[in-house]
Amino acid sequence: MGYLGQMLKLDKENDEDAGNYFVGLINQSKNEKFRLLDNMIHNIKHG
Amino acid sequence: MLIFNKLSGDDLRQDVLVLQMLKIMDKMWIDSNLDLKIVAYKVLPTGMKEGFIEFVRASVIDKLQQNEGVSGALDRELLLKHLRNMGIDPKSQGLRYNPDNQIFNFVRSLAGFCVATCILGIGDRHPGNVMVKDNGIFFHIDYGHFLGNFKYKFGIKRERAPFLLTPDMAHVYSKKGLEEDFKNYCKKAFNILRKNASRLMNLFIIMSTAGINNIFIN
Repeated sequence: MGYLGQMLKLDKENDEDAGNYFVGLINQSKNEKFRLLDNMIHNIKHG
Repeated sequence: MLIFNKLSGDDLRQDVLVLQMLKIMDKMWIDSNLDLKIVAYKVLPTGMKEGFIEFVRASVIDKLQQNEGVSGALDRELLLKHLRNMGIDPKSQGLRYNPDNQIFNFVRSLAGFCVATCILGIGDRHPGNVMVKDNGIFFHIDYGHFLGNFKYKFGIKRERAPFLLTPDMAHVYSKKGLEEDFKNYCKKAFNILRKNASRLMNLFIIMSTAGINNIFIN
């Protein structure tokens, strides 16, 4: 299926399941704390 | 307007490929009546590690954060304040942009780039690689890492989330009560790409013989 196929979740049977899966990714991304620390380090380094 | 890039030494063919994929995704979305205000600037490689990149007038988000000091990355109001400031003409103090349109542009373009960068596995995402135009349109730049080829720093994988969505970005749609709209744009965009999966995959298969790093047929 390849990388794109995996990312597009072609194994999900319907749009609702796929949509709910993506909402899970939104929550995961929004709550990622390491990213904030990484951004602060980036800003100190480049600021 | 064009600028010449030789400093980073990136293989600009990879940027061209990602930007072409973005344009194709945008067309799929527009054909399904979903305008996510995608910015896909022009890139023209002229050699192995040099070429021209279209200049797009916009603010880099790390500069906005750095203007606020060390804690700028933690300021949830930052983007909303920036959009508000950019919406006002400094001379006349009148409105340059309708604030509702700015937020509308931001939320739609953010949704589009969340979906596109997730599917294409764009790596090295930090505030220096995302920009926002004065009219609210948000976009990513520098596509040197893609298809899940993520960067490591001190042995730690930098990309721990599927895509870049920081609290200051989420605050723009949350504060305006547009969280459900944002999610719906993402869900709709994701499902449109799923329906066109074979077209997207075939384009990568065609490019797999071009010798660009990270592309292989799996």
